[in-house]
Amino acid sequence: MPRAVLSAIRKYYASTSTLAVDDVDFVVKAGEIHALVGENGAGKSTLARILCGFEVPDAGTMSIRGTAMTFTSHRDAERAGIGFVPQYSMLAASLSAAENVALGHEPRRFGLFTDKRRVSYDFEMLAARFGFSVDPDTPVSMLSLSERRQVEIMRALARGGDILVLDEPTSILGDTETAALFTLLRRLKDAGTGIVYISHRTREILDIADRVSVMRSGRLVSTMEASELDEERLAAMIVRSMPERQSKRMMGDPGSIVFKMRGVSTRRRGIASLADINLDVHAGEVVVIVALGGNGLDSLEDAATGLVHPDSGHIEVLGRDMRSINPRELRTRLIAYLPTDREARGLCGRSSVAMNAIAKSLPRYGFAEYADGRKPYADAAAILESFTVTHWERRRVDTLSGGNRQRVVAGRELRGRPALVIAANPAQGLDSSARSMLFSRLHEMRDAGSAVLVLTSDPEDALDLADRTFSLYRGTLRLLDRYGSDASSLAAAITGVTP
Amino acid sequence: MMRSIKDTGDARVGIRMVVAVVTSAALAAMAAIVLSRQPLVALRAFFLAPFVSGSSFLSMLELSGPLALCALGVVVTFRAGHYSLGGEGQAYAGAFAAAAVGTMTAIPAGPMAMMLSLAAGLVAGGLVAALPAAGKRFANADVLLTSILVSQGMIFAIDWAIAGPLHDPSGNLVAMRSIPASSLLPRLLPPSTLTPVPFFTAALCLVAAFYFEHTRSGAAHDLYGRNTQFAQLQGFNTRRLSWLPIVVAGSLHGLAGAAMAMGARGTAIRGMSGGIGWSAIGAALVAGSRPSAVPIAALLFSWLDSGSRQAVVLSDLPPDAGLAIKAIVIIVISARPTIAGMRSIYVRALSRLRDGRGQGRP
Amino acid sequence: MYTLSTAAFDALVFLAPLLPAAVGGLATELVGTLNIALEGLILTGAFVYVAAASVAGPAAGALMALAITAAVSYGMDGLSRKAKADSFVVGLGVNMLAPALASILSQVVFGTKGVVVVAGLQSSRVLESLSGVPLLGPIFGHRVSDYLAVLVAMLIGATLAYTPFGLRAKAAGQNPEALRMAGLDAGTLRGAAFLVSGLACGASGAALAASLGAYVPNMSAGRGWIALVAIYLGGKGLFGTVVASIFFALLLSAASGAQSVLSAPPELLMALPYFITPIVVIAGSYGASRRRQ
Repeated sequence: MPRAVLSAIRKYYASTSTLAVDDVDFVVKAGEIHALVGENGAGKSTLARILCGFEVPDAGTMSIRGTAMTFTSHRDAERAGIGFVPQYSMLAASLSAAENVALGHEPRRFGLFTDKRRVSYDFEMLAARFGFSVDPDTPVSMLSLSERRQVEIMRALARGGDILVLDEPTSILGDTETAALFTLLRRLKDAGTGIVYISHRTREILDIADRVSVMRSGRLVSTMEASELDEERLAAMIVRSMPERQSKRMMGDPGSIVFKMRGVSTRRRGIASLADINLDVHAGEVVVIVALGGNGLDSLEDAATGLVHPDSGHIEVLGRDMRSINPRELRTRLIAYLPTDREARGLCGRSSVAMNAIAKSLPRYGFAEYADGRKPYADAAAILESFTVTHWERRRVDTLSGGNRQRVVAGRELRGRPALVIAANPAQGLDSSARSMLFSRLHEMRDAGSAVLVLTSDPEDALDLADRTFSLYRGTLRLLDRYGSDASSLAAAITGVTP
Repeated sequence: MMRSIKDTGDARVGIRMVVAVVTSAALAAMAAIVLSRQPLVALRAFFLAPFVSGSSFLSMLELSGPLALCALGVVVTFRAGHYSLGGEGQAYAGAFAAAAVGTMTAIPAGPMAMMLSLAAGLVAGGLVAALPAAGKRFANADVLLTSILVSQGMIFAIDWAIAGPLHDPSGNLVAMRSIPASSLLPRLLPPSTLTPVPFFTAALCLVAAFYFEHTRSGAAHDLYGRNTQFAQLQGFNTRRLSWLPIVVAGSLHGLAGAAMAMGARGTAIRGMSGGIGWSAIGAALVAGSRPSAVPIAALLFSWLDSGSRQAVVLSDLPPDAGLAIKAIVIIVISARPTIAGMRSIYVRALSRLRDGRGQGRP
Repeated sequence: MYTLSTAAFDALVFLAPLLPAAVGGLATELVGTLNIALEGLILTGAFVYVAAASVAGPAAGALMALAITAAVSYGMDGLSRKAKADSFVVGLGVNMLAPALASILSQVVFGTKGVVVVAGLQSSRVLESLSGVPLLGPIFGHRVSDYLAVLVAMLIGATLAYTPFGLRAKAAGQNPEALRMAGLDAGTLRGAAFLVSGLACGASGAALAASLGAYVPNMSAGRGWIALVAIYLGGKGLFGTVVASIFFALLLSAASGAQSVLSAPPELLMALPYFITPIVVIAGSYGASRRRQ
């Protein structure tokens, strides 16, 4: 009998008006690794969270070992034998491995004190049962990444171990650690655990999975045995079929180099997040770098905008070392930046919408002009109207919806003639009309002579915007095609298919 | 009406002031009734006496001047995101410096000495703020702890100086030598203690309001205080904003201390800062961190001070009732229960009454 | 004669009331919301001790001090959480309210807002005969109240180090995701931390008052803020906080001891630690920001 059967699961989020999971059936069998696969936003994480009790579905049924169940919390799911390993670390760094596993269910002596010996003992029993080898008493901060992942898996297995759900487990691991993880997963599978493996990395999926279910836009596209699939076919199923399209090509040849990165490398939490990046962006061209989550895109964003200095290599803007340029000149004249994290970097939440719209142009006003207030207000109105932000008067910007917030950021940044535009995940949260308006604006800036660098997780952005396209996979940049890229090679590159 | 680019439609400022006034009045009435042996006399001291006589009202107004200056300083530094709590020591240093300069025999008594003393107070306050400001600027050290420690140290040091080497044995208070009368701040309407200070402060608050609402630096100031990374990315001079507001606040506190020394007291008395630093924080919070509301908030607090002082003298009200009321007002206005939250509390209380002793849902 | 052992002895006198507040405050720092009302809570403990002890004896006084200060601290945090009040402002309010209420109640109960001396309340010294022992001598001969305060500090330290609560508190501050996965409620944990902190400050205040046998207005004299600095410098760790507290106790005792060695005025010397401490904080921050580069 299968360990878990989910039927007709439906989940709708009113706050973002998205149907995250649309009538999906999903089965987890004992002793099998079932990969759940799809792009960012396909619904795979939501489905997994429903299985693990973090979310309650709007419709559908769940039965565990043949018994119908509803979970109101993750603790319910744990009691039913379902363990979850989230993508990003949920370990407390200074606690030992054994303490992390015991957290919340600590064995006690005299009812009051933590029974430390029992904590270590339970951990060692667990390790022996599943074949782990991690020292129970070392603080987690001193463990290797591989060992930390092991501890997280042990934590998930500690309350039963019938089903184990892993969300993008290799996103923080290198090659050797991934191999070690796979050996471990196979051993667990042989011991009878039903494993759900969420990922978008085709090579790994075909290596480890027995069955593969592909989700796209909330629906289950198909479920197949892994033996029936190959890399190209799987990649094509993951990345939604995109019509071959022509992006608006630039006129003539690109101009001089505006932005240059040489030998840029960074390490984050012990592994290389960027490995020897070399990149030129010319005036009058749009360069798009596509990467799925966990491959170094946020490190690249931090480095390119000058917020975090890379561990090695250097970055130049208009031939000058970025670090030596006066910050005011850099930020107001040279670089326009649309960040991924709008709330932390792109906006001042507690300030008004109008202020956020003109914050960058403040120095341009004279004293009397600003004091009078009519010109800045009119300018703000013009900016906001040109990006169709309505009902913005007398409001804090954090009361706007996500899509409107991005419009405010875009309206403020994409003004005038900056030498370089850096747009990170620009279309995230925008509907299709807002998206095409933003993209037209980016093309206008390119045609007016700016260099445009787009960092994105959505391959469609590349097809609609790029003059040149790169993929970023595990910190390595790869140029795909001089005049844009076709859909299938793009899909293959970002999911790690070897060329 | 001039449309302001900073307008966020926040209607809470007015409500906060009203809540503060109502709470203060209610607590004052309760204190008078419960704590004093002659409640009617105490009530009269609070609610009648300060308004009945012109002279006592003006003296109350005079008391609010230095407090408003300090509260303005708090607004300046808090709005920049620097929670400097060192106001007490800064004000005390200002009073001390002003008295020291004002009594220097080398300077002839008169308006010149007055200006120099006020300037000395301003500088002294700024100097006390210098170490925390430098710590923030060069080491990104949190201002909260450094400012209060330096302030406490200054209080000890100045206490010693006033009681020790600079002590004037001729009076019966532990104080420095009196400043010559011609160097003191001019009395506008004797017999009240009114000086130009409250009017000067009100004018300064208007200037500060203009600064925040209608200048580019003021806009940068607020943006920096709310989201430092954003301010950095917009190219503002974050380096200057990391220390200047702290020093300006210190100078304002120092000036307030000087004004206290050069008003009715006529010199620096040991312990004269009397909690003004903390009252100022309370007043700034009641004013919603808006300079335009600071004079009113300061007047509210000085009403509490003078009312309770009269009540203490006339009716045995415990001396620190005023301070307790101020503290409770601060706590009350910091709560921000939402309408929905209050409704759910109301519903839950009703259902508990109905089911009896919280037995839960049937 | 001022010797090294005298210095050590004096340092322990300063340490006894400082340590509980620092260790208790550490609990709140671990869960992520530092309790800035330590100063006011210490004063609360001192006053409640004197008031209760004058009626029912020192043991009852101590218990009341612990209980009431704990309740105030817990209530303060509860208000912040339920009414969405800014923790910082509520803490400031409590720091202002404590001395004012103490003064009012003192007036009502004892008839004076000044120093309240309660006969026979001063805690007596014990084990004085052993204070001649080489090396360990300074540990003996202190007042009972000081020993009890250190005991409370040790109990709280043990709670943080050896109970599930301590483990969860540490986890809460480091990775809220860890708590979420374990099904624990962050708000309950925070309330418990504030309760512990209040209890500790009650012990600190009681020890201060017991060493004099009196309540003196504003007798906390900045110790709450020094405890906060000790927590900050201690790097969120129990050992670090204790070491930092010892450092400040030594600093304070050196300042008062220097009075007999140098001919400088006492009050001026007492001010010195309050200037040295911020410099230490700044140096620590400088080091931290350097490392981040």
